[in-house]
Amino acid sequence: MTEENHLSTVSDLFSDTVAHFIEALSEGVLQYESKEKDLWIRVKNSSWAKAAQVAKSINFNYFCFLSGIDWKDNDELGSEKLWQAPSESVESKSSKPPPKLVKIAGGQSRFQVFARLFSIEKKLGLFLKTDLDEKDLVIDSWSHIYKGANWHERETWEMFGFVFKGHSDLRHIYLPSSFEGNPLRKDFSLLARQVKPWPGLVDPEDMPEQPEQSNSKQSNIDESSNNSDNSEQS
Amino acid sequence: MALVNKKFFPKPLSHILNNARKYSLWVYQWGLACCAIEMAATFVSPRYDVMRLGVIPFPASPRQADLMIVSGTVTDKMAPSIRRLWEQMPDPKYVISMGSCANSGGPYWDSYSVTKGVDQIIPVDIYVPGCPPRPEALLEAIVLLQKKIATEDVSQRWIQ
Amino acid sequence: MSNPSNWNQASYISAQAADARINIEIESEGTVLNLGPQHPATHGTLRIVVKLEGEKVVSADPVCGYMHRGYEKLTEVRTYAQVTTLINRIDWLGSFANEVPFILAAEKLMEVEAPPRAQWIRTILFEMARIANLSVFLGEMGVQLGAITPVFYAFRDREFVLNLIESATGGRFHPNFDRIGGLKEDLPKGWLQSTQQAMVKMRHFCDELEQMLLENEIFQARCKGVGVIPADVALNYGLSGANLRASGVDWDIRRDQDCALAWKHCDWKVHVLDEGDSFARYKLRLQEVRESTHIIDQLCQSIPSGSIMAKVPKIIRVPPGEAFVNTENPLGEMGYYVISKGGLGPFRTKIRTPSFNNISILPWLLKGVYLPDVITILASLYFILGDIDR
Repeated sequence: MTEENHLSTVSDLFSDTVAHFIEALSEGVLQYESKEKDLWIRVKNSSWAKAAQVAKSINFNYFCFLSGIDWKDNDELGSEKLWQAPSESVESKSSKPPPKLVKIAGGQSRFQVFARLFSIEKKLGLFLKTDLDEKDLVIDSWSHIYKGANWHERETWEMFGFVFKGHSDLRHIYLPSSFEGNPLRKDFSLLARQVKPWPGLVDPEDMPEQPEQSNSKQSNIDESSNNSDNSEQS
Repeated sequence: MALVNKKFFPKPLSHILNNARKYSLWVYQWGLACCAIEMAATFVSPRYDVMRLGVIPFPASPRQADLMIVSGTVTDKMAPSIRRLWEQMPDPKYVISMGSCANSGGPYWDSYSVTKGVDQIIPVDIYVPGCPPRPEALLEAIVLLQKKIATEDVSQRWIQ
Repeated sequence: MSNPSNWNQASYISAQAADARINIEIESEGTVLNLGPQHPATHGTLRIVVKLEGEKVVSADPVCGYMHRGYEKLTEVRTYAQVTTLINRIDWLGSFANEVPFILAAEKLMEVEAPPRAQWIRTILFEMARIANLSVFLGEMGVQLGAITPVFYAFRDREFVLNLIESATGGRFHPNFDRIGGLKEDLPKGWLQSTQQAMVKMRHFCDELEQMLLENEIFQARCKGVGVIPADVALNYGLSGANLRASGVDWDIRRDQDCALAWKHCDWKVHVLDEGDSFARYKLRLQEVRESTHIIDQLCQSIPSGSIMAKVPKIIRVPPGEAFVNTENPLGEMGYYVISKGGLGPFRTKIRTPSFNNISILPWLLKGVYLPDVITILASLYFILGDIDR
């Protein structure tokens, strides 16, 4: 999509900000969008640190948060995937206008880093996003630009496994140092749920009326209990 | 105490000793999460006033405490410290587990970082259900514990 | 009496080894003081490894995570209604205030708006959560500095607010009262009158504390000029709420952001102080409690009638999209970045909690202060462990 297309989707509040970013980063700005008093900008991985400097120079001086997103959703999770839209309703709604873009200023790759900055003077919010290469999860650190990013990057490193280049001490912040895995990745499944699904979502058993059916059900239950035993062992 | 060593303890003496013990419970407050505030309300608020039950909530360290109240979510990172401080308490010692999280993990039953119940680490005498339990519930737990102490046989407890 | 299983022993040993590693990393000369994880001054389970030279702090390293419960992961396996139950417990002193931004974010994605009466009740309960939260701070700060009486006053008067929250929502602590599109129930009969009476009591409580603590010479000597945070540093670390306003930054989300809640309909003032020290933070929070009582009074008088629930489907599926909503919670800016894919539960929720940022300034702030001031600073920054660790 061309730049002109995007400028039309940005409200007047942000035309200066966007112009600043395009001037400073030129090719680095990939996509932008605004909604109410917030602006989303997706930048190239290589200009992540520079984007923060630009934002700081135009008075986005309040650091709100920094975190990551894992967009993977086709993984075989042990837990219920509650976030999934029901397939039949999508079909029935196909005649209606297509749903809104899921990824606001979204990207192509699985992992994204996103951060929010705020300008106290202008009372405007700014979200910066960047895509990460799945094979090379390295990104520049913001900790020397925004001091508050230090802990947020430690948290993101712990939860997603992104490596922040230039960060002085990437060590565990929440979990004990013996912990293995990155909990917020979608392929990190919760063991307690794998062993036993949440009882609230399991259908209640039918009334034990017909003996034939109950027999077959019993065998089902036996199978399922075997399964759960297996999963416990594994 | 010489009588205790001979594996014999007369019942009237046991009764007196138990009564003395149950009305001077020095409690070590292990406040961890939401329940800690309800525990503080029980101990500090003039409305609930736990001291009338003979519970003294100001020991300087677990080494001077008889009772430990674990109130709140026990995480895997915290669990070793709880075990260690429980080990520092002198016998006879009692533990009250307050709130769903300390009982069984509560709303975090499927979390990756929460210990599913403090009874996996230390033995628990009284469980208080609730999320968080009301101060009255904690008061009742203390009364229940006092009943338990009153019926204890001192020779059973101390001579092993 | 009990035998810990092998797993427990292994985790115990490895955690101890990890702790030892941290200590060795920091230890060189001078004394290393390990504050917490169970320490009265940290009201909760924050642990601070402080390196001292004499009585002066050379470096401080907060170790958090003793209360990490994995909220962001758990929201991915919960439906929207279940998430509200969960996030009540983030900042456990002002529980209702936690629900509001999440519900607002979901409402933003669904493009529904709660009717005015629901917004009014939400705002009243929100401000009550603020009073319930900050009154503990007002008492606790005295305890940390050696004055034990204020905390009795705080827990006595806090009960009035908790009783009101309980009679309206059914829960003293965790109301779980907010629903997408409105509220669970309407207010009980006579609630507004008893609320106004309770607010008089809370104002009296503020006056008492002002006389007892704020005008106390010892308290002033221990707080004034201790832990000064300049405005630019505060912004750089992302401090919010009273910590930021005490440093002279005039920013309150209740006033400065378009919000569906009813703050814009009443007349109130944002207090700002320029000193940036512990005393300013205490004074500011005291003023905020007072201001909250006035807001509640006005809202009780102007509350509109009508329904409390907008029309929403029985099974709530939030349309795909991303939304961020933040509100001015008792501790500071709390925000939820909700990403939905059109299902029963959120796909990803980033929870921006105020205390996490407020605490991240500690290594900078504690450098060079004397040891007794560490306690003052910790108390005046006011954090809640669930809010740091999530």
